[in-house]
Amino acid sequence: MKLRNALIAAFTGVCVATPVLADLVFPALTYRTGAYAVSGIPQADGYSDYFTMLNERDGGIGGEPIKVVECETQYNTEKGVECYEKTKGLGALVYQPMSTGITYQLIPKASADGIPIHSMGYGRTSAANGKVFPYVFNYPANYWNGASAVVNHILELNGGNIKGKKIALVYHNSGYGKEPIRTLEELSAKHGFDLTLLPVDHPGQEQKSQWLQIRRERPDYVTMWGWGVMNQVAIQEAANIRYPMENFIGIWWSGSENDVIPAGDAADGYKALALHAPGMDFPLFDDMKKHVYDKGMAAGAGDQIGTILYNRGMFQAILAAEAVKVAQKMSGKADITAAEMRVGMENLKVDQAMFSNLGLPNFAPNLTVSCDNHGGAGLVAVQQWDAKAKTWSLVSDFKPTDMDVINKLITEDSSAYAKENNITPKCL
Amino acid sequence: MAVGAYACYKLMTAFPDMNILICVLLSGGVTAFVGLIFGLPSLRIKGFYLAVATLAAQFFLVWLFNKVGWFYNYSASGQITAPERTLFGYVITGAKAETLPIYFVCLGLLVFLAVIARNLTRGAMGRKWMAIRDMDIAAEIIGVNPLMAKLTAFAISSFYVGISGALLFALYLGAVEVGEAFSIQKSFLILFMIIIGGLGSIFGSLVGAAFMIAMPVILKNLLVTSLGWPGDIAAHLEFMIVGLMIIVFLILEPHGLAMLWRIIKEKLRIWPFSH
Repeated sequence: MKLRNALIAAFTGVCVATPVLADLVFPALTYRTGAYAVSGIPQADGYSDYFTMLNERDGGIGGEPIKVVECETQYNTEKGVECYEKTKGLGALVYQPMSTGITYQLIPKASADGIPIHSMGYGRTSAANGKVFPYVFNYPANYWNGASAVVNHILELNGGNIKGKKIALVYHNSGYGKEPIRTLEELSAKHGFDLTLLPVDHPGQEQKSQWLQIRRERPDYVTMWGWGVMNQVAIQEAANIRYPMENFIGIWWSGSENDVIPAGDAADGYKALALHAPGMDFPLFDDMKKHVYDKGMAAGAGDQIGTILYNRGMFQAILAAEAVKVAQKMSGKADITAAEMRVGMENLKVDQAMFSNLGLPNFAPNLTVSCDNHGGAGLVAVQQWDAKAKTWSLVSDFKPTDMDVINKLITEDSSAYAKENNITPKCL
Repeated sequence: MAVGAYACYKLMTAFPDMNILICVLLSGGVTAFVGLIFGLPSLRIKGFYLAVATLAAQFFLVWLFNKVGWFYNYSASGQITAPERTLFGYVITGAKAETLPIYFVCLGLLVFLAVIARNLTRGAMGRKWMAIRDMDIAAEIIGVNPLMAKLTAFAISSFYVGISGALLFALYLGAVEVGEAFSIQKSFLILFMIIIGGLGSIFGSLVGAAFMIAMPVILKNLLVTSLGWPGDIAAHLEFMIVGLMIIVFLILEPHGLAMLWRIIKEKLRIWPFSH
């Protein structure tokens, strides 16, 4: 009898999802397992730790407690969609899919359900056009900004003339890795450099042939769109063929501690783009320590604090929390809905005063979101790895990218999407 | 499956007025044709070598759909997205599709195709297939044409697989990226469904599929939602359970869940008086 009761209890537990009591629900589609866990864990930890800190220090946002619902996706699109379907009924305010593939799947679904998506620095680039994609945001910068930032950096190194130089793109053979190709092609026509495309198949552990080709053709610069285990393998392979690291520039997703440490000293000088400052030299981390780490409430193993991707996850949480504040102010109530959250995100303004208030002076550049521009300012910096000190440091300011080229492509791609899906572009 | 999905996508975008069911069935036909081509080597090689040879199809097709832009209509991300289609007034593909109509369409097709499959295996054709499977030389001697039997087997199973691929893409996922949705992992998943369900049985493949899909969901709900465990532990546990199940089934019950069910039925029939 006891066993039967236990079984019934377990079964009802299986069938009935426990209702969430808190009011501001942030689903986190994380991946702590699989080939991308090395990149997924720090980001997930940063995202949820910041919300835990807000709950502990301020009692949530505007007096409303926050609930972070984690769902494991393994960076797999099918699992991600399953997670979305499972969590969307809990009153989700905003989705951060943490994967370009999942973002692509969720764009039509979330737009139909009226839940905003924030694909921060990833996802569909043309979603920067808020008239076609009212529910999708990709501020503060997108892949096309990234592609242009890489080219700008190379231009700078060469005194503005890169005619005839060879640039190779090593990319994850998926929607994510293919994103920058259009822009790079456009830019190669504009600046006259040769572009070589080298796809790496999922999960990215085998790159011998790609690097053999690089060894043979000796491109002047290599840029990389990689993620997860692919990054460390690429950097190791680059070290093996003694490719000059300072000519190897990764996207902001290919520049974390976990990517360069396995290659040891050989990774010294590797560059990556940055959306925000590295390190934990900020007063905010004192609060994080006091309210989260000292209380033993850190997400995951708690060993990721201060890494690049941890900061990235935290930055995502900060932008979401600030958007909630805007939404609360605009709607006049603390308990906001997903629709009000969308309005909050669209009217988000981030400046240095705000970063100073948060205890993160000079953490990231200013940002203004509007209906026309869901992509933000697109300011990108370059950071470089110091293998001796084991630190990343910014080697440039946050600089603007070639918006003439990018905006043209965004308009082109988003109007094609609008036509395909019968969307009349307008501001909501 | 990838062939089915991409055929369905091309048909859906090339002929916007065509009924979605016809699209799905036609994409099954396209897959049958592709399966036939890859089935040709089966005339010369057997057993495990054949399995390895068909594995080549897996890698070739994924590479093809990634490489040639025509298959994904030159979209920037290389993904294919299902446009919106309706059936009897219900939206069943695209973003606005509700879950229930999708379920019933899939269920209807499943029942329809399962009945056909059942009848095929009971008829002359199925008997020929089984004869070839069990012992091809003996089958040849009793007058089964191995060429026809092998090629029809390849074509018809490819037809079924193509339909499942088309449905997976158009109805369930809505958008597909070939390297991810139809990777080798998906092939393994299907193989595990068959191993756990039971080789050579239609009921077994249904049970195996239900098991492989439902088990992680139940496990996740039980551990994460009810007991509050972290999601990564549940995911790791799932790997272990699936691996263990496969080993156990291969050793203890090579005929899978279907055989287990048959034994239980037999036992119940004579219970409580054995003999």
